[in-house]
Amino acid sequence: MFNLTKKHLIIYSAIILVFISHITSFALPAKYIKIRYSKSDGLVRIVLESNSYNLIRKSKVFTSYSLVKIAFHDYFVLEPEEIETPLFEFNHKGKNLYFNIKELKWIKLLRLDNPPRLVLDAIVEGKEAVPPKPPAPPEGKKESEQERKPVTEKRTIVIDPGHGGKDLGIYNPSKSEKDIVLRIARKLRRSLSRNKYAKVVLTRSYNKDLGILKRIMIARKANPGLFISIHLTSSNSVKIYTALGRNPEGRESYLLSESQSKFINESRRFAEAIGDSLKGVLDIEISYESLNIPVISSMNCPAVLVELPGPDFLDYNRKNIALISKAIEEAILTLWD
Amino acid sequence: MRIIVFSVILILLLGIGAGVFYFYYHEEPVTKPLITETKEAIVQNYTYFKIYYPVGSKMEIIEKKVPGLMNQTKKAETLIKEYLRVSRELDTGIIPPDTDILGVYISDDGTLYLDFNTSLKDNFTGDVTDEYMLLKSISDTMISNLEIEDVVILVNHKEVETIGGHFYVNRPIKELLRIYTETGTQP
Repeated sequence: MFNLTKKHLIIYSAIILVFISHITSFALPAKYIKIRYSKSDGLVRIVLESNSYNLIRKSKVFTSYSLVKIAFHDYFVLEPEEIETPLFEFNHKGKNLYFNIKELKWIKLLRLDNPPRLVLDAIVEGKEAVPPKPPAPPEGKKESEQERKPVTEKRTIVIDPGHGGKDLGIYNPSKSEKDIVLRIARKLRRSLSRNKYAKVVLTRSYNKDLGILKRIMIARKANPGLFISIHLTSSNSVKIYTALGRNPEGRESYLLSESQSKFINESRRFAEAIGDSLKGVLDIEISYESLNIPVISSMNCPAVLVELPGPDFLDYNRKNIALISKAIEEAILTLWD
Repeated sequence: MRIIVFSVILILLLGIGAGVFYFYYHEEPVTKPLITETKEAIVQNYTYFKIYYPVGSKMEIIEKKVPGLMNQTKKAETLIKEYLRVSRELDTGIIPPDTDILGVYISDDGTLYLDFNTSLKDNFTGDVTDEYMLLKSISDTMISNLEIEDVVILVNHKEVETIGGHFYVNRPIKELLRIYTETGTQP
């Protein structure tokens, strides 16, 4: 009825297609992953940098002999699609990336922010592995807090078993949070104390009432290098909290320490190390949250609050307490290595 | 004729664009009316309350109508009682058993003091999220319905450091919640 010629139809169809593709691409900005790599003596470092924090945070890594599979929760564009190197081969299929790393012995993982990136340190057969310097941050951004110091002197870790005394925390008829977290803390202290470089301080080593402010004062007095507060959640999951950063007033107060903002990235790395380690012993969902919980926000060091599954969901018998304690210990030692 | 065709295509494209934006960016409000409008509501004076309650880690709202018009203090007292009742009815799991309100005061500077019995603290059993949602639901419910600046929680006529062992409550809670969730400008 519009008396359109074939030529007009083609032009109009093309215009419609261009518009639709523009609208769709605007509404759904493409997530990408950029691959870069380096090699030093006995170690191949592969860095996957993304524009999506969630893409990196929610990625899962699986290894089998020389094959490494990284499963992402969403589709992404890979840049570049091909790299010619004798060190490894890789394939991009759907939401997954597959690496075949030659002579792979084991891998270490690191998830970093600003920009979000997943760092795979592949230890390969050959000479003794010498860890290279951490991946360089983007230009103009300082990352001094992420540089690791070699362990040459005693480091203090403060373990804070939550609740206590009249404050039971989460409980069922037979078990309470205050007792469970105290047992885990004590076990962790025993294990860590075997390390000659570790000094362990507990905010409470027996069942007693202890307020938030008193915990903070005990911890800060010990001048710790790491702080971990252990609690339970009311669900069948593990939640690991880190602070958000500076308080809105931008000044030190009894509620929040200004200096915690310097340790945000290290605290998140600590959280991820604990999460990865716990994942190995508890087949359970692990989530990471950021909230200025006073006990962690007031620390002058990397600090996390870990919530383990509630007593209705996990039997806190001797074996499980040992497993959890061992997992947290490994995360601490990995961070200190 | 060409102008008509171009106009039709343009309207079509704008429609597609608006549709895409609507589906990707529009979020439905979570308000759920609990009581439907009745004949009495039209002829009788009602006080309307919005009561916030947690569902998982999200906050939802229920609208309640209470007969009669009230002054601020009476309104605050009725509101906190409605809040406790709704929380129990919906089994939100954050209000400890036997929790009751002992008194309600509003200071000259617009701070609302809610004085609970000791069950609020003694019977509280919850994790970080539960405690945070308890504070937030009380704060949001009170501040959205009353002409007040902030809310202070008392237990048995006294200030307490914490309810559940994770967060302070010895300061006005709206201010505390802001500190717990916001980050300042990074240096």
